Amino acid sequence: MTRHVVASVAELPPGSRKFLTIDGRPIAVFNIKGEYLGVLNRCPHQGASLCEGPLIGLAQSHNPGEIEYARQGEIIRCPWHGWGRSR
Amino acid sequence: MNIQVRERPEQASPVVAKTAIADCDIHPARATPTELYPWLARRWHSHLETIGLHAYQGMMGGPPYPKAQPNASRRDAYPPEGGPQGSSLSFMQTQHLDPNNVALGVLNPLGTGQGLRNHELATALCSAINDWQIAKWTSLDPRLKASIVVANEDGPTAAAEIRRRAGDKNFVQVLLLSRNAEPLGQRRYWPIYEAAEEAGLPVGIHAFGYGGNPITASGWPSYYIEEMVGHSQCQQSALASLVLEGVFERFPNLKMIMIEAGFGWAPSLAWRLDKVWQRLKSEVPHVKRPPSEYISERVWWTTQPMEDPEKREHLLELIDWIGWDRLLFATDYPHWDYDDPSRVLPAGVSDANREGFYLGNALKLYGLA
Repeated sequence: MTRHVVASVAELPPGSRKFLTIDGRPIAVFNIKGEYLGVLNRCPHQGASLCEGPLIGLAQSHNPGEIEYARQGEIIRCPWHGWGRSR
Repeated sequence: MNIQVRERPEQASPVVAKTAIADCDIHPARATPTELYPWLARRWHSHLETIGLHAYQGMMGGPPYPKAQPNASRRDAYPPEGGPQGSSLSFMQTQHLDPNNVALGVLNPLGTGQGLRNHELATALCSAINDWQIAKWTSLDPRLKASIVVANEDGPTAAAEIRRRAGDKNFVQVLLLSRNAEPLGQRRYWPIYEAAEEAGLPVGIHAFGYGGNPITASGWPSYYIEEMVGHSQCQQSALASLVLEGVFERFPNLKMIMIEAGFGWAPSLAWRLDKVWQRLKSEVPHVKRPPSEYISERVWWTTQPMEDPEKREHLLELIDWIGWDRLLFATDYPHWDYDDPSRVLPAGVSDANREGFYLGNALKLYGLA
């Protein structure tokens, strides 16, 4: 597996992202709460630039009338039709 | 809503589509609230700044349902120079027209003077929007064509605007919205159809608008999702009204385009209309032919948002009924429910049908072939 140097740690603080092209593939690297994740920047739905969307969380409900918003900042939402992709 | 605008990614450029397409639903936006002022009389500047807009709805500004995305548009469509999505011609060219090889783009401006209670203001704004479309869009990029936006609730004045613009090659259609004070087939709208037919222009009916009525026949729904699927219901009413009021009989050369309403419902509506008409046609003697015939001959359909059934052959069967020559490809750029041209058609469509779907049907309908 080829290694690519993409950024220094200082350049990628938690919550930030960086866009790159590697071997012709559009990729974004995220820092999610200290963990670095690379994502192909192409939504499987219609090919949108997935990684330009907002980082959101997950609304869950265990009982009627109660909503918890968990996993904040761990899910990327596609800027087109809003599909979420999580870590 | 917080919007984070970040640096555009430096990425490998997307694959350029080889096939030229028509995009029959593009929404240009104003970059600033005062962008229309050059084409608006001074009295309207101060009117807009002090009194504002009052649409055919309750005392609230903005759309009746929140749009889930800022300006109901793609988050990656903000122009680098600033302004809302769809407000920059150069960015529209870079992001959409050039890479998607859009040979014909039909502009359908929203948030205009349509649906306003002050008819004088509506007329002034619509006329300004029509001037703006030429000045900022069609005169600068010949691929783009404009719609004649008219004050929908003021028939005679709307007709006058159509007549004023008739023959101007910048315009390819008249634009109405699907929500009006009354069903679209009724008499108050006939002057619009008369003028459009005279001018040889089709009339496009685009989803949304303000009619002062609940947005469904069962009352006001709770969720934006219901509004989204409600466009079909709304345009079914419009189409039934147009047929049964005899608009297609009265204006024998009039063509209509259902924009952003979906088309999956077309066969079942036509079958139902035919059945009921067979039995009750004495109520509407002015409707001389089965409703399905008017629909088949005079109505075209834009594709976005494309129906997406699990069994793709169901979609193809549907299109067979409607007619492959009746569909007009559209993306709805820059709205969030944008359809990407390279992804929407399943495999197995003949070259001839594919060509018509993507470009040929639109060129023919708009007289640009």
